[in-house]
Amino acid sequence: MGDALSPELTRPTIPHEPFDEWSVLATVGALDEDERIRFDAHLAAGCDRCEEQLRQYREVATTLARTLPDEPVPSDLRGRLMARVTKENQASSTALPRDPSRAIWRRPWAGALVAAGLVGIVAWGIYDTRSTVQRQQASIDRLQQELAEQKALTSLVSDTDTDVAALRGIGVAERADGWVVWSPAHRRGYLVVHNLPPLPPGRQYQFWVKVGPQPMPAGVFDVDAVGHAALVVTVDTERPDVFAVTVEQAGGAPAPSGPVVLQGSRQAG
Amino acid sequence: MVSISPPVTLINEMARGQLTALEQFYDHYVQLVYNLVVRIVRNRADADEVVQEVFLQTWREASRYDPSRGTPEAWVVMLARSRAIDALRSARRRGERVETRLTRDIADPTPADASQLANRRSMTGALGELATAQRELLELAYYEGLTQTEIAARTGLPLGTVKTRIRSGLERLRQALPGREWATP
Repeated sequence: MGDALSPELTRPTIPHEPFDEWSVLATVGALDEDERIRFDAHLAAGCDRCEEQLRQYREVATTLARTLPDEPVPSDLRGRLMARVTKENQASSTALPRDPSRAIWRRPWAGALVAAGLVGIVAWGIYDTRSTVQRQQASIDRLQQELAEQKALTSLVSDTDTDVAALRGIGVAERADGWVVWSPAHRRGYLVVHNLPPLPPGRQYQFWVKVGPQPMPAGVFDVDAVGHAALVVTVDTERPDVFAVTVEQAGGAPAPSGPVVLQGSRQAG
Repeated sequence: MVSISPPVTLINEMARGQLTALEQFYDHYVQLVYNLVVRIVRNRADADEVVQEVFLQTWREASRYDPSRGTPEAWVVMLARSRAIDALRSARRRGERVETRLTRDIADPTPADASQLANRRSMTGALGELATAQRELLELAYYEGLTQTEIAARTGLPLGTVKTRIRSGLERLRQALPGREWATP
């Protein structure tokens, strides 16, 4: 039996040209759409060389902004911003539990509540510890998922025959965009979306790939607070023509029934 | 006496939900952000909205800031440009007329302290020394949101020339950046 190859030798090699040139052009937004999609996928696959070059040239591009003449900033703009932030914070913090050690001492009947308060504090401590453990477990789960996705993406972008599609926002999601890298060989794709609005409870986004007239379900997903999501999808089809995202009931639907919020067509690699 | 924290510290404090850190971060960068956004969207009402969105985004995404990927200034400028270009494209899609303007208005420097002033003078000088052709192409990309193919179509230059001029323009600016060390790509 032959020796197993080391992980270094079996890891897919990420092709590097023309990314050196693209990492410079990307900092001023000069890449064409298909190049930008491929470059984003390349970065997402973990190219330290391009990340470093991008970091350096971002600083250079920043100098363009630094040389502009000063425009008068409205004096009330800071107040408007802080009012929005405060309102947003209030909306998101209504369910947070309060620190039980506060305020109780101001009340005349505080002594009668000391014992109950101590019990509450101990209970809160246990609750807090359990919450911390749960958060850490969630963090580990998330990192493991990200690692699995990154491995899948590395595998995808190392293919020579990948297709890409830029997705454009439609209707209420006009500001959204995204891209898909699709590997016909793996019958698998990597979807990234940005700026999709969060959905109300009971609703989820669903991704579809379309070959001819038939849309095929390719997974449901939620977006984070800034409308971002990334997922690897596997669908038993070689070359989808159209990719789309719709809003559906939580858990997804067998056929699209809700509004299309993102759509794009395959561009051959 | 009010002490001002370094921007990275402010971002960490923003990630922990400290509103005063956001206020200081805003005070530190609003002029830079506002100048850039006005230059791109060319409409003060839109600029006010975009600038608020930029700082809201820094507030929401402070915990995601990664110092290894760039300075706070590069981060906030990148967010500002991205938001402003989105607004510009949105206005164009709505059919609003947005004049394309190649800037000649290099700043009359008025920053707050001597080091900023020296830095701005240095960069303004470097930008002024760029060949007009290089500077105009950089500006079409950075302020107008045009891709290299769109720039080639707009200017009638071959695509290869557009790429070369943008790259060489950025390289010249890079060499003019004071006090920075660059790793070999």
